[in-house]
Amino acid sequence: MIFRRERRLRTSLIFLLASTTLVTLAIVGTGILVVRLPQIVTANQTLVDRAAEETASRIEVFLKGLEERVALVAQTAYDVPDARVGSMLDAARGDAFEALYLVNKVGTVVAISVGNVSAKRSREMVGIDLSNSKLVRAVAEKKNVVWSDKFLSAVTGIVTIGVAIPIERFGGVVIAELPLATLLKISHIARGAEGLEFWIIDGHGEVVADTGLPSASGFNLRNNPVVKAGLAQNPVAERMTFKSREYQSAASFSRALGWLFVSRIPAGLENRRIRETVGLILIAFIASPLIGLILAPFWARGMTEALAPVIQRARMIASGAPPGAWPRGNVVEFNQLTSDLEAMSKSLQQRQLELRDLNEGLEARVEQRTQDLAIANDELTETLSTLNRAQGELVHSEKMAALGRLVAGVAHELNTPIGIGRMAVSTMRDAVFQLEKRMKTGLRKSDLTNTIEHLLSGSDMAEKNMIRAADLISSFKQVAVDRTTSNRRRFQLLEIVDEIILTLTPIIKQKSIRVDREIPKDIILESYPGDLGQVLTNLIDNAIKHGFDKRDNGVIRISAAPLSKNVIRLTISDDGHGMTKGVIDKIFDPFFTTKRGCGGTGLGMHVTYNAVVSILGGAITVSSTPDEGSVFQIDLPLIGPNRNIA
Amino acid sequence: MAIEEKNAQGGIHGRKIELLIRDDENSPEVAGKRVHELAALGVEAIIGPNVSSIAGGMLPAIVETSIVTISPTVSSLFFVGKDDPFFRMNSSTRQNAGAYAANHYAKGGRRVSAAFGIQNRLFTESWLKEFQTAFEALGGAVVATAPYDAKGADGYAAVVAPLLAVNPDAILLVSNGVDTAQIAQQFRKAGSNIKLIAAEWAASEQLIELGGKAVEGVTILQTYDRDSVVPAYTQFRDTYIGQFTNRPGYSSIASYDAAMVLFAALERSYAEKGLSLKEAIFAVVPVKGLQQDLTFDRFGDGARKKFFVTVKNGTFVGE
Repeated sequence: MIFRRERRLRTSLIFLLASTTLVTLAIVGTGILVVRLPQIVTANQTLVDRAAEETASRIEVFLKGLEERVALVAQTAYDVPDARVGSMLDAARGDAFEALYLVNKVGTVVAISVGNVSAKRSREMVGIDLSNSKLVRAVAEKKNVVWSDKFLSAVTGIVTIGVAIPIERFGGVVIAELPLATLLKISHIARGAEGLEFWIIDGHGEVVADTGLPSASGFNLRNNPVVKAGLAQNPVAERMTFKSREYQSAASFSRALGWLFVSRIPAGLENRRIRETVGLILIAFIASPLIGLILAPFWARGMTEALAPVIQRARMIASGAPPGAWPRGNVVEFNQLTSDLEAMSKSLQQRQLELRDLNEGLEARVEQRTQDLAIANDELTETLSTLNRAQGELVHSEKMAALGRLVAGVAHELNTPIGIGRMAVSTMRDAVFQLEKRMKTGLRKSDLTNTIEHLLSGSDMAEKNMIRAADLISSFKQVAVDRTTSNRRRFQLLEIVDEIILTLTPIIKQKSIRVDREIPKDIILESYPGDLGQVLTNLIDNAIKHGFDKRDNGVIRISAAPLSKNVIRLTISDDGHGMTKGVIDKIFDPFFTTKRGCGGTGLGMHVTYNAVVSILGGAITVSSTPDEGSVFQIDLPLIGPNRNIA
Repeated sequence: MAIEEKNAQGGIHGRKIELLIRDDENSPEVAGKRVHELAALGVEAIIGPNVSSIAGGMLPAIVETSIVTISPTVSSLFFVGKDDPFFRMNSSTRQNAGAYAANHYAKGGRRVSAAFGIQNRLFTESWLKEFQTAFEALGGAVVATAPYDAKGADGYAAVVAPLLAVNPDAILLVSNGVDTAQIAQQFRKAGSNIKLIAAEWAASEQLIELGGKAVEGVTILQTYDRDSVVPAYTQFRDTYIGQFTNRPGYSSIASYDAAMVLFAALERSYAEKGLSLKEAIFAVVPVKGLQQDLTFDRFGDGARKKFFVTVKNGTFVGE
């Protein structure tokens, strides 16, 4: 089963809006990043390339201008009267140079103009020896214009750059020193784009100016790969790492100055444009769903408000109230839904009417059927009572039949003693006739003795058999009384069993069946011997009829033993055909017989069960294995329950 | 250079060393602020400064932040004998000035005039005082002293005449290389050929470059042997020239040595938990430097070997 969480329309709409915006932004944002970032990188590269070139040329042009100024001094210095050299230098220095001075061919300063120092100090510089100055030496060696690397000024004591121009005619040098700040200023002008920084690097790899880190000038960057390649006038890499930060870089080498101009702009997220692009997308990514979240409830409310009257009417229909007029809005689907619901509502009302009519007809029909059923029920009740009566009668007739069989048995048993008695009497009568005859012909003593003998034996025999018959009758009488009266009395179990066996002798003998009994004499019950007899008769009869069906012999075993102080167990078993489970399950049901049509009523075992349970207050169980025989166990209380005979 | 070499070898226990450079703008106040800035950035140690007055500005911040600071060159007595996180590689002014006094006295010098710069007064005055004490103890005398201000209106020439006027056998110049060169120029310009002695602070190549002929014959003490053939030194020197095109000066050598001490101590303190960097320094010394074993007394004060040289034909020549 799939568990679906229910959501309100409003929530769904908010989710929909937010997720749509996010997914759209994710796709669009990625697209923008994929397209835009390389563009920015390319643009940045173009920017740094151009910036390096431009700064190089700008500074070159600027410095060339200054150089020309110094060159002019170099050309005219010795033409000007000594007294005016100082003021000429001052004029030429202007604000552009920090110091401008003439050095003669042995390296001694002959005239000087220095900014930011006292006149005294300025004066005392004339005459100092600069023969060891790198710039002076370089000019002496090259005999050409030299732009210095960064150097410590001998006149101002600060780090500076300078140009030295030889005075050809006299072998001296004009030196102009430029504050580093000037270069920085020009570089700053060229910066333009944010994050674009420059290094101006001298031939030693020393940073002359750094627009990025003014206080860090003094770095030597000879080992930086870009600087190394740039100074060697080789193509430089477009990327470099400086102080753990990534840059896009370009370099331009100025042959005139011997300097390298390196431009750099932060790469990756350090770059403002990339950062802004990524940031904008991120902001859009965060802001859009937020705006969506703020706007969505209003939108959702509009939708739910349009739906609410429709829902209300649907509810009214559901609760059976008349919905009234159906609203129409400006959403096609909602109007369609409303129309459909309206149609549905009408059709529902129609159905309801039809149903009501149908219902009313149904009630009448139900009443009719109820009446019919009542009649049928009465009939059935009557039939059932008839049946019960019939069953009672059948049971009674079954008992009668048993009694009949008993009578037959009795008659059969009586037949022998009575027959013998009759024969003895007739023998005696014959003897008396013989005696009478002899008396006519002459009676001899032997005749009298013989007759007496005959009479004695005959009467003896007759008496014995009469007694026997009387005993039988008396016992049968007891059985008959027991059967018909059902009175509780004390009796010996063995005696009852023997009597029953006796009454069943005819059918037992018919099939030469052996009945073994093993019943202690001392089992005395105070119960209902007639019913017990009936039970035994039925069980033995059943065994003979069913167990030994189509058989001429068999053994029936009857045994009894005390089960407890107050209960005995009577077991009747046979070695006959046995029964299937289907038969065992139904054996005590009324009218169940396997011999329907052959004289079986199907009541024998039912009667047996009722007698054991209802009258004797005991229990009967049966077990059987087909082809091995059946065993009935009857547990009986020594004292049977009281019977209230109405 | 030391850091590049160390990082190329894999750093310290796999960690790369990052160099943060801050300019003290030659101002003690700025220098103190820079220490706090560096502390805020979480640096483990500072190498520098090179000037005593700057060190004076930094010291309170160093003590406050407990950042181990190793100065390659600071020698002022002001820092001697203090138990703080400030280590000095250099000998003290007392030791150096004492050596100067002994050297000059041994050459027969008895009367000395001295000019000292006021830019790094903490050092220069202290140095001069130590010299005076030692020189006078030997039997010499400082016959005149004159302060001069490199940024002042009077120029350098103003001190020349008074110092010469007292008939000294030598002029002692206590200032940096540039100032020493310029003041030497003024002595020569004034026509004097008097013996010039420069305090060790000026012992740089700049002295010769800016001083030209004016500094010929100047005697100066160097804390390293320029002509040493110890392989560690020659290798360092050659690499240095390859990178910077100049010969390494005493401050470069001392800085390199300071870095060696620092790296050894950092390695130890990473390896041994609970060992502070300061304790680690005391644990690792003596560390082998470029020309000498580097060690500190219990106050973090070191000492360097001393070599007196004279400028001859634009170069330093050992005496």
